[in-house]
Amino acid sequence: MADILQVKDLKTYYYSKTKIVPAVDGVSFTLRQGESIGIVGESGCGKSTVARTIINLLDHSYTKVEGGEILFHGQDMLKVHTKEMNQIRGKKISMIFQNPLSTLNPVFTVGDQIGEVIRLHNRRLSKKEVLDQSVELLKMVGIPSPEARVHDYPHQLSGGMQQRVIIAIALALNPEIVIADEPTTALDVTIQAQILDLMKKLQEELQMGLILITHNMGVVVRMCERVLVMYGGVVVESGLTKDIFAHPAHPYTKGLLSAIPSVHSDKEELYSIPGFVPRFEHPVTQCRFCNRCSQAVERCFKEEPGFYQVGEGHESRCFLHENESGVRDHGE
Amino acid sequence: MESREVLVELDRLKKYYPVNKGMFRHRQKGVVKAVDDVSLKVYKGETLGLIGESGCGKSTLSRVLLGLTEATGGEIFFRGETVNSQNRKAFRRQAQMIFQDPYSSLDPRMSVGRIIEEPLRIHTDFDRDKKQEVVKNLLKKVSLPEDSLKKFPHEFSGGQRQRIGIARALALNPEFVVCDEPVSALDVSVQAQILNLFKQMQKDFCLTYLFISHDMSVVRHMSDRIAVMYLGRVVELAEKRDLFEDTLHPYSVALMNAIPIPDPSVPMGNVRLEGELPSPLNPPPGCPFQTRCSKVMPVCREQCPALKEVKPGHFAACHIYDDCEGCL
Repeated sequence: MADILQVKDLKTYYYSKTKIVPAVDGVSFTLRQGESIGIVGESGCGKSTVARTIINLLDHSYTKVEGGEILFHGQDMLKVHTKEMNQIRGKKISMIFQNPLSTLNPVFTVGDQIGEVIRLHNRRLSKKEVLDQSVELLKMVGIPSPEARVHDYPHQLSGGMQQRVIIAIALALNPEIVIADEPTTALDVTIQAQILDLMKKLQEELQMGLILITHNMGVVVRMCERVLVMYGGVVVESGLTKDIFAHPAHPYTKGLLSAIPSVHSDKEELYSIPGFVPRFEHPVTQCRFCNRCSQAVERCFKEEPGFYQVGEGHESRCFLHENESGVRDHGE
Repeated sequence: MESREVLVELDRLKKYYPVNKGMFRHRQKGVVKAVDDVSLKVYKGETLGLIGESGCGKSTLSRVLLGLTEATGGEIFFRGETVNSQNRKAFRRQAQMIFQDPYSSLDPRMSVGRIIEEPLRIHTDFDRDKKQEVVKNLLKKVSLPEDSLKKFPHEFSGGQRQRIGIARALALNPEFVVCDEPVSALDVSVQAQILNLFKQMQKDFCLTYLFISHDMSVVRHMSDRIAVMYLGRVVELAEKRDLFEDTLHPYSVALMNAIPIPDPSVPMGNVRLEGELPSPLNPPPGCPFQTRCSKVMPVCREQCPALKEVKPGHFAACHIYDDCEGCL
């Protein structure tokens, strides 16, 4: 299938008075039509910054895109003008945020807010048509009695319903790509399961590309075909979900996966990655994980590793793979 | 089972919040039954897990238990004695709490040393040196560097702050610790460190935990027995293995099915809950779960099922098991 979004060596830095923080430091990936990619990592790893850079929602008073390209159908999104960007944002690429209540405007009804998106991108529609479309969208995301709900204010809906409204807004214009930043983190498990089912169903029906940003490994497994694991502003491992979870290659991914308690078995002690995520400063000249890695060697502290192929479409950023490079450790 | 010593017992504990309306909030509109008729036993040395979705009353239960809010009805027994206003201070000394949010549960204007020392100031007459010694020992126990004493909470990361909270809770050498969602604000790798610390502390101090969380995998990892709450009631209570492998209550089944499992080889469960939690202000008469239950029967709409022992040590509150006297 066709590539719709290519991110190449993207670098977004945060500037403070005293230092430069490389929040995103060379991230590359490709999204095909109808594909879902998960970006996982702990807080501060730069996963949300990637999303915000793609749809240009950064606060430019302290952030700057230092390099790289974001090609959407071959057009570099970093170079388009604001006016054009406004046409793309919402219509071609839309975003679902984490906290449903703070995403919705409390003083407008749900119908107004869905209608706003529709009207902005198609000014010739009558009020009646916009309302009908809004009701249709609410029906699509599974809100009961949408004709009545369309006149409700956000606070009259529960968290799960609010998130459904946000999904309706994001899908209002049939976007090609939806970026979902922790879409279910604020919800309870049973509601989370409902929302994930809904997103998966709509994504497959509408053949959208989905970039799902989350820290929940379980959610990624359910939703995504491919995964990027981020740490300290870089992708440390990427590949198919089933490969990464069956044979994690990077020491960070391995640690992260074994740190999750299981609902199916009982472990007496959990593996824990020692220390905590350090704050990085530009320029970084070592492996970002070396201080917490149990397998770190001298070289890790001196230069930053590149990607090594560890399987088909499975890459890992660790010197450990150098010797096994080209050797497939997969028993496929 | 019966030979085990009961440390804390809740007997038909209730907490109702009145909801008023009118300009001066003078007319009572109804009550929210945040905790309704909960009876639980916590055995010495065990970890009792408490799971449920937001709004099910698990945090209210912990607050009522420790006397942070007054109960509307029911009694709490500690080592067989009723906790009342006379002996509450002594009970508080033995029962401590670790809070969810490590950012708001520590006073930003107190140094770490003072934070950890505070329970000692209130409950003991230790002199300065003795207090210092206790605090330093605690810091070592929770693996914080000794120079943390003079620092302030904002200088620490989330995981380290939770360690401070743990040190404060353990300062008086309590027997019983209530952990209210202690790791839900933390990242996975830090969460694992803190969970391991909890287990270590349990061994070192012979602690009994009431461990509250909405994360099923965390509760399973930590607990010996687990209680599932729904709309203020305990709907199922069992040893953790029984609960996960032989789930009885339809709500627990749906809850288990909703967990996204980080392993692609495990298929997702397909039992889904329709709809959402009904308003706790007007719960339906009868079983609180009837509106979302796939196995709802006429009797569920009339009568609220009581928690009963369906299998040895495995309790469920559901009419499905009404005719189940023989299974015991």
